[in-house]
Amino acid sequence: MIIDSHVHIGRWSQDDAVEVLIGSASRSGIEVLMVSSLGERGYMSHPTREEMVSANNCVLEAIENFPENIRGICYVTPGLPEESLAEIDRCIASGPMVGIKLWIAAKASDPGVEPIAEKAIELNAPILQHAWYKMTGNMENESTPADVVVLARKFPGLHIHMAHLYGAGYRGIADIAPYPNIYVDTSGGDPEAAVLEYAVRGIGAERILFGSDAPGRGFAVQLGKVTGADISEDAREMILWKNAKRIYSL
Amino acid sequence: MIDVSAYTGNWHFRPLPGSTPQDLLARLNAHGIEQAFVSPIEGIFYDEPQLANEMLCEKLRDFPSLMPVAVLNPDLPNWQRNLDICCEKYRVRAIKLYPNYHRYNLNSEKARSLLKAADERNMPVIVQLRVQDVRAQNPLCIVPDVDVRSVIEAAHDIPYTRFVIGAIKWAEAISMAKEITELPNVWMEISHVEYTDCLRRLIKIYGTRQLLFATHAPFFVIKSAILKLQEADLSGDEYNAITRDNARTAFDLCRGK
Repeated sequence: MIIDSHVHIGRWSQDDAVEVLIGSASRSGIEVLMVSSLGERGYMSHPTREEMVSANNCVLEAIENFPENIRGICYVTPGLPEESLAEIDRCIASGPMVGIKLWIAAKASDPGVEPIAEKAIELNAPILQHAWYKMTGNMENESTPADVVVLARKFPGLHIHMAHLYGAGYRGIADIAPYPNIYVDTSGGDPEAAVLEYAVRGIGAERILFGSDAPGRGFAVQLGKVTGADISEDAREMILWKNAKRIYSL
Repeated sequence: MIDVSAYTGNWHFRPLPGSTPQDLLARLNAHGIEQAFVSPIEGIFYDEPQLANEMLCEKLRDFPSLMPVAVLNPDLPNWQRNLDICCEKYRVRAIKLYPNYHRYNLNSEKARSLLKAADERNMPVIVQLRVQDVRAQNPLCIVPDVDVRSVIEAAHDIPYTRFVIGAIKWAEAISMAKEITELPNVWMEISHVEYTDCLRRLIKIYGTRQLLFATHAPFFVIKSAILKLQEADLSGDEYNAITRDNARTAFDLCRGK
């Protein structure tokens, strides 16, 4: 079994349609996709309430149509605190989704994230938090792993699934190493050799999840980061599916 | 299978497992890759890349299936002499250029002289657009990508020289498809092409004639390059073209040397 913990769907190109992604993933042996939508008609960094709801409706529809293959992550924004909490209730407390997605509306260290973090703890739902160290400069309000650490320290009971190991790099691995409530997925760039091996050594395989960030990235190439890594078979299994199953209570 | 873009040597910024000729070959062979075109990593940063070429050629003497690719810098006054040495003393099979790391314009007079001289020596020229994601570079060494349009312009104006576009990305390959497919003297290696079902989609747009299999090892995980092929569910003809036959044509492997 392989679970891809980081996939995006939408309806703004033929490439992000859920059936296209399920078909492509299955050719690489990936059975379960954990999907969020950052916008029905395009990635929205600061979505309105309507855009947030329509994005999440894409995911709810995908879960209904492909219950064997799809697990849902609810996209919300600290820019709309009340609306976001209501959306989390709709999609997770009263719905089938299993996690919360935060992108670049605010840094993970921003106090505006705190109500969402408290809600996540209440529902035992991990937060999938985008993070990156870009030497060319992060986007406005784009979190670094150091920002994620601030959130993890404020809320030790919160499970944070930090996106983009290969964007975090060696510095990012060093940042998060002391915080066992931060996990990281293997997305975030080219299949650079030896990065995953370093991460396994630095934070342990039990804190790493396979994630592709498809459709912008390819399932096969991203999977090769894990299946081609010089790590133990136990570690590989943890990364490919066991950790996602455990952390998200799938 | 033939890998048209692999490396040996040391990278300043992190260790690269499998970067000696012996280790590289073992790893390539383990994935079914029998031959590779190999350039020296040190050629990117040495003030005189010919020193890296000579180190590489000496190291590869005992590895006939690893074929040396020389790094030249047309901005240096001795590039012609270095090209002659690479051809006459060593079994160099291709030239690799880094216009971004070596800071010159591919369409400058000096660079075009080298491109023409390569054809006179029956050598294809790999123009490397990037070595690593610019966002992940060391802050002391942020090197912008080479504009693929500069390669297209050179290939258009120097039609007898064979060009291989190194490390092209999906978005570049798609946006420049019309221009690239019109150029019979251009190939592109697919180590950096990535998107959902990227290779199958690329074949729909390009056909197979211009596509060359490459790993970008030891920078990249070799397995990712292999899985990219498998995902595309290639026919026998497609597989042979991309992994072997096109490389034989682009690098003129049928000539005796």
